[in-house]
Amino acid sequence: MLLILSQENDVSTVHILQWLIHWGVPFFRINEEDNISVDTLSIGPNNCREIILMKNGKHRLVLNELKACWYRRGAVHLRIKNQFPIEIEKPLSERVFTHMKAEARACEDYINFIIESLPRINTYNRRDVNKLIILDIASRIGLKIPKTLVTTKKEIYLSTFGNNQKTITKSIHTGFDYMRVNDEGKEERYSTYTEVLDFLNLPNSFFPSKFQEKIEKEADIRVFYLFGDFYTMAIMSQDNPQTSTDFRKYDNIKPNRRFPAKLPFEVEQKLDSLMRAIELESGSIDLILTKDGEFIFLEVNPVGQFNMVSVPCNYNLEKIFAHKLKTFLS
Amino acid sequence: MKKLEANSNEIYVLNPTAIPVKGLSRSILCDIERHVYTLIPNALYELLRENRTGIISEVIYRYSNKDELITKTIEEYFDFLIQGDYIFFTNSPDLFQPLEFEWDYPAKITNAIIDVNDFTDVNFEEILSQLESLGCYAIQIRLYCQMAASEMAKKIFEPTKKSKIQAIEIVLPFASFCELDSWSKLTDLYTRIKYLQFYNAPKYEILQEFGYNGMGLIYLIKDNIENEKCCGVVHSQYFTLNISSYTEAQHHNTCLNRKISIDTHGNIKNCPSMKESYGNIRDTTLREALGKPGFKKYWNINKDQIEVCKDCEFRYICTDCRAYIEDPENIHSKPLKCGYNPFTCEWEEWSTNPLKQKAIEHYGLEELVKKEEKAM
Repeated sequence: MLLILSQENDVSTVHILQWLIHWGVPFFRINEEDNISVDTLSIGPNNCREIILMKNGKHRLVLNELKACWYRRGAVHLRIKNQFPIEIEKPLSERVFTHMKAEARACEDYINFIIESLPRINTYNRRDVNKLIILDIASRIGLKIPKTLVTTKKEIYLSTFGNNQKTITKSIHTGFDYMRVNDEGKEERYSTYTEVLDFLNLPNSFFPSKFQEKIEKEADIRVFYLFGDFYTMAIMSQDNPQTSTDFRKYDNIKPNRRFPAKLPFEVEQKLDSLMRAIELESGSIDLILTKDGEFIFLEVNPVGQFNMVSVPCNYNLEKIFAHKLKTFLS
Repeated sequence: MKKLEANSNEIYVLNPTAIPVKGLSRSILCDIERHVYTLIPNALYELLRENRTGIISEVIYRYSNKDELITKTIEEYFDFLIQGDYIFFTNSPDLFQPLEFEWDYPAKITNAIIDVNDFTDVNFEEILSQLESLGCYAIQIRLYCQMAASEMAKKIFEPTKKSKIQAIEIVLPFASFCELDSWSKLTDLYTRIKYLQFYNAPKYEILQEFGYNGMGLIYLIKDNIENEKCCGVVHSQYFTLNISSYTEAQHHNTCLNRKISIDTHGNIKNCPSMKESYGNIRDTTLREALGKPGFKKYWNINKDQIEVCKDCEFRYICTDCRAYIEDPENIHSKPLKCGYNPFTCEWEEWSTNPLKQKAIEHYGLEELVKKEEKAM
């Protein structure tokens, strides 16, 4: 049995499950939205343990029977109700509820610990990567990275980049996304993108912000990585002013060309070292190809959708990925 | 706009998604990313085959031998390639790889046709559940009888509300139409209706466009689809150009691969127009029929094996038909209802071609052909 941890509406999960169903590979899917409860959790002498979970009160999962796990997204959530058999007054009830959540959390941690010991693709504990740490490791490994600065002061910015260097600013952690319904009842969306910085408008001091030198690129490179294998796509976004800084600002009339590509061996080797160092079996890697033919590493996303690389390049990554999961069971 | 002179000493690469296909007398360049093709001379095809990447000035020098006319022609070719965004310039040509043409899909059956007339006794709920278990995601239901929107909702869509089938196409006579409102309501309520096509209508007209989800088209066509013999017409209006169909066409039949059908009598076939039946839905499951020897015999006949088609520039974007072929004795013969000649590059009326009359008689298509002539 294969365990798949995901979310209800995740498209990539659906595409991979189609293959597993097609091949008759047995799996058990837990979505973040599911109500998981502990049926049995016993640890005994002689390396003996039994862990049984219930999904939504009806599906029984014996963790000992699992052969492998794919951590896609989400988390195993034990649901705790803020209810007590007797009436408890306010501050105490809140303390008790906090305590109950911590108790459940300890069980969740143990469950994740057991799952992590299985043959696996990615884990809950490495779902969220710190971009600064990864940039640091990448630089140590010898990958080229853009000069990066986090500061609160314009003078530091200027002493780092001067006033001729073009720079961009982007979030330190992840982008900001906000949706609201306006007065006319229409949905409005605000998202942060990578933007070219106009340093003249910088105040003298500001909230800690990240700046990177703007690299004149020939193409954006998006890599899907799986156990040392690389599936690479080039996005020819540079010729289009709308996408030249951030290709996610899609041009729907004349979409950017997307082509299959093959990274030089040394770049793949270094990226492989990086992925091993941060213990990710799979993930999406972003790079820039410069006009001089150099590859600049930008970031890793452990949980990206792989459809966007798979379809235009005809890689059928879903099949390759599902096949990897299948081999775990044989 | 990019200019040839400015780039003539840079390294160009042909877009990996721009694929040249050679025909007998001319070629096409398939842009499978933007779903369009363009006609090109065979000379340009050869030039691209030998020079997927290179430097324009060097290519010109090598081919022209300083001949002015040839130089001018090749310059025009590259102008066309630049303006059409078919090549790009890079300092890293080795990075870019040709597209692989592998094709696969996680299902035993991907598409199905169910034919229905007044005498058809069919349990849609049962059939759709069988199709679902085979992984089928697209179904076409062709009605040769009238059916009202309310009846269709009750018979077909209500029982299959929770089915995983993604798209259902309905083809039915214009006589069923009445008023748009009831059909619009049907597409609103059942979002897996890809389209409702009413045939034998007074004119061609789109009454309701595809919705934001690419579903729910309602339209009229003039053709009369009175039975399964009307199928199998090969024409440029049925060309498909996308990465999935293009790669499937490299290995498989562009009509019959992973298809299953049930004709008006309940016979389970690869296609309703074919003679071979693999059991009746009354006593045979679709899975059983699929497992019978011979069911898949047409699946791997791609256009490279079909006579005439193999020399046609449209072979990977065109549909096929194995039910009606020019020589019924030859499984690899050209589709009967195709009027294209890749030697002359002209589309002619297939039904009046004297060489096809024997096959028309063989399949009993004379009636149909006569009616079409009258309509013209």
